[in-house]
Amino acid sequence: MPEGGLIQLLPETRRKLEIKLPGENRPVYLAMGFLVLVFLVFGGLKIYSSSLKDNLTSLDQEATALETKRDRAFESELLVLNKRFALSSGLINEHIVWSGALSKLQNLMPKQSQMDTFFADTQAGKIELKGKAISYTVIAQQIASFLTDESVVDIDLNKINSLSSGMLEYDMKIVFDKNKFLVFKK
Amino acid sequence: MNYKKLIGSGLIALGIIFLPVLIIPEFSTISAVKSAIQQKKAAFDKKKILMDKIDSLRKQTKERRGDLEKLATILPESRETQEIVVNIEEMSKETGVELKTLKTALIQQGGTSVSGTRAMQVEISSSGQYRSLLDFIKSIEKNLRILDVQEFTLSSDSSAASAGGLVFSAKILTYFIEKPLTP
Repeated sequence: MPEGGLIQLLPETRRKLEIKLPGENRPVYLAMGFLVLVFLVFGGLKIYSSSLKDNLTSLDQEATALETKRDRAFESELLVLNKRFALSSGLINEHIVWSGALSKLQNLMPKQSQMDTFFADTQAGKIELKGKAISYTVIAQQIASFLTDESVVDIDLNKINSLSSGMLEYDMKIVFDKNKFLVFKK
Repeated sequence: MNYKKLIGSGLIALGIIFLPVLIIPEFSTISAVKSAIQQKKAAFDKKKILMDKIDSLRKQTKERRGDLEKLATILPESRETQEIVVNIEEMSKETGVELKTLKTALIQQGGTSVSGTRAMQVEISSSGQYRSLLDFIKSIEKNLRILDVQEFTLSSDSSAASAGGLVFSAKILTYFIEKPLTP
């Protein structure tokens, strides 16, 4: 009870009541933590990005250093050499070898047949053969023998004349596959 | 208590604003730089491999200089008719074939299936025994400068001097580079 019997209903001075509740600052701390995290992530990314840019610069420098080591004159020489190789190998792959074909035909000819004229044309893929044989059978054997070779495509027997000596004169055309018969390929 | 919540919310909002403003552009920069590094590294590695290869080729060309000079003989940069004449004469002497005539003519167009090269026709007439002529044909085929026998005739030599002899006449193609090669 106040003195003098008066009842004091309101305090004369206004006092602010500060009641501290546990955890009231938590939203602020959480928010600051979030903000700090954002800045930390940004800082980390900035450092990483800067290191990547340094890598890029050093890579550029290495590339420039490598470029200065190039010997352009030798590179041109190599390119010319490469072209020459390509041209030469194209011709070598199609190089015509007649000696093998001649030996092959010689082996296929019967002994009783004799060659007089041998004309070979690579582009036309034909051989014109004129010769003498002792009989029709020998000529037939010769044709059959030539046809056993896989490179011989066809044989045209143009004519057979009998000579006063008793021999037979023949004229035939052999058609061959140039790629199998003549072309030199390793 | 309310204003603390307000501050908290404000700070979180600020953080959320910073995300697209600071972090996302940095992410884009990083991915762009990474991709540039990858591309440059791939190009650099490729270039390095090529330069190593060129170095190894330099060593090989030094070691095989002689073989490379032969390549110029196989396919010369001009007609080199004089070489053909010398080669054919040498071959005929070596094989015992008598060379009677030799003619050369430049094929105007084509004559070869390999573009960039041009053909020259060499026409020869000779006589000898079958074995010698066969050796002569083999020598022509083995000649370093390419000689392709296009047409030939082998027939009995009617002259009295050569009993059992044959006459050999042939049209041969040889090649050269039409224009000097450039890289």
